[in-house]
Amino acid sequence: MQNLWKDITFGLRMLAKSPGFTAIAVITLALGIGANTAIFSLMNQVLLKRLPVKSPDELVILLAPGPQTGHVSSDGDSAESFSYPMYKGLRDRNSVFSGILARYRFEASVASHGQTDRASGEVVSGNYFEVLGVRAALGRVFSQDDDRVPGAQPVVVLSHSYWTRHFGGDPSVLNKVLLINNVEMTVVGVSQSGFTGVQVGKIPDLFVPMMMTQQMTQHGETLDKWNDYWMTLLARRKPGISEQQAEAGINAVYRPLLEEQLPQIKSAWNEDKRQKFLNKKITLSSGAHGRTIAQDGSGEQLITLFVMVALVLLIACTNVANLLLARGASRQREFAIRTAMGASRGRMIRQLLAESLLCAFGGGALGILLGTWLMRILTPIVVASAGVQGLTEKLDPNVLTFAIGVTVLCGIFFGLIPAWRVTRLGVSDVIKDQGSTASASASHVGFRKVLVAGQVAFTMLLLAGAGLFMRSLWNLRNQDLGLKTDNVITFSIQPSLNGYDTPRSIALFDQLRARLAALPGVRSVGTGDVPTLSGDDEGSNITVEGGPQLAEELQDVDHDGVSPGYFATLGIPLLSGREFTEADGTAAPKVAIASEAMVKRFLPGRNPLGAHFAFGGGKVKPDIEIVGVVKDVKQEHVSSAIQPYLYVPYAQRPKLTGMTFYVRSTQDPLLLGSTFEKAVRELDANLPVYDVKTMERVVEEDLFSARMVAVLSASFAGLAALLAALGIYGVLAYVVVQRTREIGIRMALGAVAGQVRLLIVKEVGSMVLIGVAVGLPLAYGLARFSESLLYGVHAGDPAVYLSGLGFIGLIALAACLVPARRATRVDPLVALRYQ
Amino acid sequence: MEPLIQMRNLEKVYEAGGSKFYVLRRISLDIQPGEFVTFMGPSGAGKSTLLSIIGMLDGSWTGEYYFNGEPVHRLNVKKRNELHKANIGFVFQSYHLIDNLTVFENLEIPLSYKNVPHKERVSLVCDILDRFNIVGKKDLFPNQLSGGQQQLVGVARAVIQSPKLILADEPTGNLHSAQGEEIMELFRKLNEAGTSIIQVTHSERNAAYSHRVIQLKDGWVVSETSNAARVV
Repeated sequence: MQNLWKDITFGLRMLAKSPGFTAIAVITLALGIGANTAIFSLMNQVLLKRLPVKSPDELVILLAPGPQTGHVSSDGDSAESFSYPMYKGLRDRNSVFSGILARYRFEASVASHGQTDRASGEVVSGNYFEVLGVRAALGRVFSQDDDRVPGAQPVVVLSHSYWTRHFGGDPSVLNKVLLINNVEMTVVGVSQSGFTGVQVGKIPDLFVPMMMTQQMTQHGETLDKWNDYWMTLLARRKPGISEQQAEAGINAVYRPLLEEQLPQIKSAWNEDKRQKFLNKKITLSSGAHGRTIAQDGSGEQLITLFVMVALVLLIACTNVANLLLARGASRQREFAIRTAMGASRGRMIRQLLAESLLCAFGGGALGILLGTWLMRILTPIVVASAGVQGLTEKLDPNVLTFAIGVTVLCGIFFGLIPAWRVTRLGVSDVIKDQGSTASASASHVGFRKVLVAGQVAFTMLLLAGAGLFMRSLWNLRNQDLGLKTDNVITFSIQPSLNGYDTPRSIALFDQLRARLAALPGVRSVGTGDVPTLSGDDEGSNITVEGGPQLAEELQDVDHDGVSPGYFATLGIPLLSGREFTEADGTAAPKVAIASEAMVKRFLPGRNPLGAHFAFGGGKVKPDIEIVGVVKDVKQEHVSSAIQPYLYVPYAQRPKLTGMTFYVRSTQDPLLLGSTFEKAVRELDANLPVYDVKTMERVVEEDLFSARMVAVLSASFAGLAALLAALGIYGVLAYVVVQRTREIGIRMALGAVAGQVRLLIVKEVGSMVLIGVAVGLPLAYGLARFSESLLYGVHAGDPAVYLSGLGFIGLIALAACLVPARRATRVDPLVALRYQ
Repeated sequence: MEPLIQMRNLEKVYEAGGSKFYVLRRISLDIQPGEFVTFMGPSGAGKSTLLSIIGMLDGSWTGEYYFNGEPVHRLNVKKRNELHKANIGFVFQSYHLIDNLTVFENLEIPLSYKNVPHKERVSLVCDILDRFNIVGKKDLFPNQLSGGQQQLVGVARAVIQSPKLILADEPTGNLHSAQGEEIMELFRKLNEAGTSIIQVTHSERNAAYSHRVIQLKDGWVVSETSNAARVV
């Protein structure tokens, strides 16, 4: 123990004696550890963290892949959606789960304190909290008694964070009445602190009993229809029941339930399809991490970024190892003496490891601070732009353990190899008082070159990755969206949450459009009930009069209910026919405007104007006339492929819940933001306005993931390049010192400056060539892994790799400038006396 | 009495470019406990190499070498290191103190490598500081000492673990004559107290302190002379 203490105090003294070395090593490690800590924190929260509920490993998610018919509502895999009758059957008849819960997310408009806000709600089964093992922080949570009579349970449980945020944690909120989606609901409790629901990134603000579904949700979800698939189910396995046993047990009751459902199916299914339906099986996936929507959406990006940032740390460690090797070479005499004094190799390695670990702890401490700072920057951006809620910028024990673990590993990794090499040298030279370390240095420098070649390889990998992601981002930014985003601002309202039916909503939208159009600075106003570039879509099969026979999957078309002036406001070119007018009202003949892609698929070679279609399949009457054709537009995402699209007047929509407004202005559109809210308030003071942003911001938000990956990967590549340059410089500077005598002899024999410079460039060349040869295939491998994140560029894009090579060449040249210059300034007379 | 060192046909050879270069040839010698022996000879004779082999810092040789009856030629590296740690102290021409350690810490090093407990270490270092009259220098770093003082510390470091044998390679080579004489006197006293000493030197004056002078040339032992005119 005392020897260890001695090693530590000596290590501290050695580090203090070389403040330059210590500072470079600590900062290098801090950059690597800090970046890793920040990215790991995101990865931990999104991908690794388990649900904060009782025994999360016992939870499973139920999936029923296979044919579905009727109304399917899903925010992820539609196999996760079940009907209420099916839920009830599974819940009551199974013997393998201690409980099955059901939940469904809805948008809520909550009026309290004299103002109305939007909130995120969940209708949940009465056993929801019991199955999860979540208690009430205040009042009570739901029980089976809340699951009995539809529409008779106007009670709400607030989430702890919503209660704290909106009610300041005031306990008197109990038994207060809130107006939620125009229904008076009594607050009966607050869920326990730390509980964030069953889906990472989507934290419910309030929970309402499933019996209130009809009152809360917007899309007609029902509690009695077998063919209305909408709720997701999680179950807790009984003690001692394995996942396989649970799957077998639940499927034993699933088949009879499917047989019960079959007569309810109205579609004309043939025997094959009926058999497929009856043979559906429930599969279970782990529920320990909750529903994996956020994980599926961002997992690949996070893993790619984590690999990249880990490589940066590896490069940083290699740099420090290189520095330690250089330092070790200058300390050979010390180790030779220690050997002569009886030190074993293990003992000296321990001493050197103590020094490298001290250095690593310095880097780790600074890295954790840096990581916390990076998390403070990154986390709010991810929360705001990617819509992943509940991410914290605080260090949790997992992240701290990771950072400390990485620090120790770094200390061992970059300390062990130099320690091993430095201590393996003989001591005879010292005994003979020849002091020279020439032979050892030659082997040292060779190994240092190998390390630098490794750095070049990893840097090549990171540069290629960053190049591909930057190129993707550039492609995304510079593609034709089909609409003009400049000077357009958008906002949304959802009057149905405040009790508006469709005719009242239409009247409200008409009035609001007129008011907005009259505002000074407004050039035009348009609306659509599916927000553009938000990721939302609404699709149906269509039947076109005289149209071609298409496969079932090609009959689906996305559509939007828009207003007159929509296309002009968003700058979508009308190619033929006409825009909608105020005359295209509810009672007017049904009309539609088609996109080019729609015409190409459904009306090939025909004049689309005057053609008729209908939504739905089978025996429907095509009564909607196409009156115009517009250019294709990227509706769902900037990165989505162009799909056939139909626009209908919103007044002719059978059901409207909300509307997104687009206003083109003659000035900075943000200046108009507050006037919109005023205009809405004048019509209905209780109607919340949300998502007020310019269309340019909408595009930027849609590009968030691509931008985050591109910017972070470019930052990592830049950092890696800088570290690699430092590594190359360090080795070259050492080589120049080592070869001073040789250079002197060459110059004495007539070598000119150019020839001396060439000597140094050759040293770099070999390191870079080996590095690139190893790095290129690795880079291609990483690019293939992340190919789904690329847009408009393939994993083997030669321009990206050539740019990477060029950049590496520049770094190498920059790194060898000073050593090469120093080499040409060697004085032969001095050099020949050089020891 | 069993010799402290017994070598039979010891040879060391370097191989370079397919040809062999002999550094030591068929060395056979006995050194008795308490003996003070000097190796002399021209540069390249193999003196320092022989010293390294005796000190067990060099393990690549052939032949037989017994130290205090232990067959060194049969020991593995670990055992050899243990034997070396327990019995041998080194004194170098360039003192070879560790620059970043104080005098006290330099003296402590060999003890720490022998896992001597801390308290005992402190006590031994204090004793030796006292014995060598360098108590006042204990907190100084080597670069704050004169050459003579550094070599004094070097000898003290070699002696602190009470070795059976001190190996000294040109111990006064970097010192002026008065300092050199002081160090040689110290060796004489240590030898009189029972410590065997082997030194490598070019100095006849230093050789005069030893019982026996062994001359080497081109790796061969060419003569052995008992020192009748030994300094006493």
